[in-house]
Amino acid sequence: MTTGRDSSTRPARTRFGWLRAASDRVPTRWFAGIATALFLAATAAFGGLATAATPDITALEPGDEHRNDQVAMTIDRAVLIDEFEDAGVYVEEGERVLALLVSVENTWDEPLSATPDSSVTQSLTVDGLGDPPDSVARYDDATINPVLQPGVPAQIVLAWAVEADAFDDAQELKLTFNDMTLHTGSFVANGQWWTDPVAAATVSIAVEDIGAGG
Amino acid sequence: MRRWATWAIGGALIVAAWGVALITPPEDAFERPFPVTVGVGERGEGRNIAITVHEVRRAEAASAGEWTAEGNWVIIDLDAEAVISEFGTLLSLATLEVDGRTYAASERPDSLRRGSLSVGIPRSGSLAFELPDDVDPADAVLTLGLDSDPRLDSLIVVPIDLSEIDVESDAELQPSEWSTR
Amino acid sequence: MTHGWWRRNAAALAAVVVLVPVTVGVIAANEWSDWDLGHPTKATTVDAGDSTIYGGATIGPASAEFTDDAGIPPGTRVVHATVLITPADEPISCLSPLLRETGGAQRQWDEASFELDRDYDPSLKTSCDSELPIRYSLTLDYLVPADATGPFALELSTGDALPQFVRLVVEP
Repeated sequence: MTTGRDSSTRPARTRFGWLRAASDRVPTRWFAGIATALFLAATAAFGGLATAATPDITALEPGDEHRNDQVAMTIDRAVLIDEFEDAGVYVEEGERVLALLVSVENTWDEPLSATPDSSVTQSLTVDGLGDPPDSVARYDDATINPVLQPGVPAQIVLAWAVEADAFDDAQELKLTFNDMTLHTGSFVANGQWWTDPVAAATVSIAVEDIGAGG
Repeated sequence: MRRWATWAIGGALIVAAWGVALITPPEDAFERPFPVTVGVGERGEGRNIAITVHEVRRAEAASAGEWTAEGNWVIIDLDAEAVISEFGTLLSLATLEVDGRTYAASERPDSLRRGSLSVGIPRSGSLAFELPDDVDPADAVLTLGLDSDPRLDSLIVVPIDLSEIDVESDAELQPSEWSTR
Repeated sequence: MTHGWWRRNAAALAAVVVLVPVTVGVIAANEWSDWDLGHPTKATTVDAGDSTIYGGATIGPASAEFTDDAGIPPGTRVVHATVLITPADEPISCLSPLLRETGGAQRQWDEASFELDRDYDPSLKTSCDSELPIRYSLTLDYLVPADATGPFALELSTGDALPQFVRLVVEP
């Protein structure tokens, strides 16, 4: 091709001649085959084409704590009560209140707002109750929609107004703890929030019917 | 061109590129808030907020009127006022950062949290922060602002050394009222 | 880019220099006009003692004076203002007017009758009565610091007439 000539006097159209010679040697017909082989090798290295195994769902007892990066929750009690206005829930004719007493600790490093449709209440789902709680309140001073400070445990009440005969005394209530993922907003969204609940543990607790309260 | 010149220019360009990468501001730099840092006892003035922190107290129990609660409480006594407009102006951002964790002013007692501010007329009161029992805080940073979204507005930032403050057994929050100072 | 290049592309470059700022301006004006139309942005300034027609009513005259009140903190005083409202065919509705300094930093205060500790008098109106078709006055109190000496402007707006609003200048 270009032998023995000084590079400053090489004419322009053969300046990249060596590159052309090299690329002529690459077997372009084999590109597809080589790419497929590389893809399969990488897939095999990452575990193959089978579906990833979902994490096991642990079965817990009432009083056991479920801890993740967002919250640590323990179910203390589930009660059925005629009225529970201190918890911020108001019932109509033919309704009673189903209240869950939950000990919560914020394990994240920012405050978490425990409102009825927050990531805190999405971390706990009740079989048979599709809606989020009607109200969330602290058990000790009845603060509605409490803010959970990082590392500070609190006992909160999640309350639903339900049909009077929807639940019986000593009925087993199946609850699911969900793990959420921390999402960082980008482009048009700003901040960080917890989203995408994935079932991680279950608890079965018996509902106590305490009548009018006490 | 001489070969050494080519290499020298190439090397200089690489160094320049490294320098540009170092001084490039981060992605969110265009939306950063404007912090005004002051000490305890000094008045910090932002665009529409001016705060003077008078005292920082720590206690094992906090009370405000009839409400009381035990815990690891940090109580900040402060004066707050607006500067140019008071329509819809509230002290909505009040956080204490200790050891990498951010605590928000507690909503449990009545306090200056989300209190409305007046232009030129300071309101005095307290903010209460509930910390975990096992945290013995040393350096803390108090941040105060008008909106929980602090981007592109002023923030008053007060660094506090909590290790110098003795822990009382009980502390009462000051009522929210017009400042008499 | 040789000298010939500039001459050959002169027309295109001139068009770019003109059209780029115009495009930015048109897009910005278009986006802002929605916000603009829903907020009080176009003022009609009324001198002290005069009145104007706005929103189908005669607004003004307005007057103000500095007064004191029992419960106010030291270093403050009250601007007590009255505005005459004369509806024409239909009653007019408005929120409590804002008080703004006309000079300096143009600080703004909210109507404060509620904050001042006095007995509730239902005959005193602090915002337009949307049902009253006859002439009435607004009685407004603003708590201002002592260094606010005026003159001030009372900013009044009614939803139907936005973005127009009225600035009644008062000199207490």
